[in-house]
Parts: sequence; structure tokens; C-alpha cells
Amino acid sequence: MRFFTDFVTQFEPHGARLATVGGAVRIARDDALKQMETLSLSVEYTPDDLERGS
Amino acid sequence: MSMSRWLLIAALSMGVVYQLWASHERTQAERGLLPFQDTNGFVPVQTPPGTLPDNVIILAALNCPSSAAQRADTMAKRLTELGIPNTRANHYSASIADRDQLPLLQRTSVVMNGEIPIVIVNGMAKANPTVDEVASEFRRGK
Repeated sequence: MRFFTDFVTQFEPHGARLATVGGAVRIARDDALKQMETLSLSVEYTPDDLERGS
Repeated sequence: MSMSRWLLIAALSMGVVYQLWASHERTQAERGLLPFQDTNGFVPVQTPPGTLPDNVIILAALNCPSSAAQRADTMAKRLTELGIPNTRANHYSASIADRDQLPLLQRTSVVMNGEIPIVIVNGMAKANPTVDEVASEFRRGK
């Protein structure tokens, strides 16, 4: 993706890895999510992204 | 037909299928926002602590000549002319510490992946709104 979206958990050892597909958050393991404390969404718009909105 | 031609056709077919699937997923995700939209089409999003109230955030790449970035810059200028405080930015971060807030973060992700520019007004966001929609959202409830 030209568009950077990153989900970071504090509990990656539990397998709580998230990713976006078509804008929707996919949860790899729901049980891991129960153990997480924080989940962050970070989005950065770069010039390459702008083809989407042109 | 040569093997390399078959491989090329197979690769192109897979690319088309992937694009169709990604488009389908995106449509489904955007459809999920509909129940949460207000009268201006804005939906609630997760905002970082310390976010200024009554300040419009316009998200798009900075210092870029493409049409989307120009739309963002023009919107910022128009809003300033209308007396609406606004900020141009190219980065957005938000966190949750409660699992119950995950749906809100998911909706935030869907909006943030929408058509640029993304505009946030008092905890509500929309992809590529018009200046009138942003002004209306800013004044909503005032």
C-alpha cells in the first residue's frame, strides 16, 4: 500500500498482530486481543498516496 | 501458446482478481460506516488525547502538487476565510486501551483509508468532504 497504516500492540508475543485490508482491520487472533492493553493506529499520508484521491 | 505467455496471463488474472477483491472489501467496510454517519456524512473516530476542540484537521500529503493535496490546501484556505480554525497535517495517530473501543478504532481505520483529503471535526471524520459539509459539521450543535 502506498498509504502507510500501522497497528502496533504492546502484546505481540501473544500474536495480536493486526493489519488492514481494504481499510478494514483484520484481527489475526481474537484471544490475543483480550490480553492487550493498548492498540494504536498510526496513519501517514505521503505524496505517493495522492494517486488515490486524484 | 508458449509457457511464458500462459504465465503472463495467469499473473494478470491474479492481479485482476486481487483488485476486485480489494475493491469489494473496501466497499463492504465503507458500507459499515453508514449507520454511524451524521447528517453531513461524518462518523465518530478515535481521537488522540489533547486534540483541540473546534479545530478542523485536514489530512493529506504536505507540499504536494497533486490534485488531492491541492484540494486539501484550498479547503484550508476557504475554511480560514470562513473563520473556521483548521490545521493541515499528514499524520494521524490514536490509541485505545479498552477492547470495547476496538469497533471505533476499526471505523477510524476505514475513514482514514478513504479518499484524500480526510477531514476531522470534533471527533467526527469524513473522507473527501466538501467545504460546505465541513463548515456545516463545524457549526453543528452550536
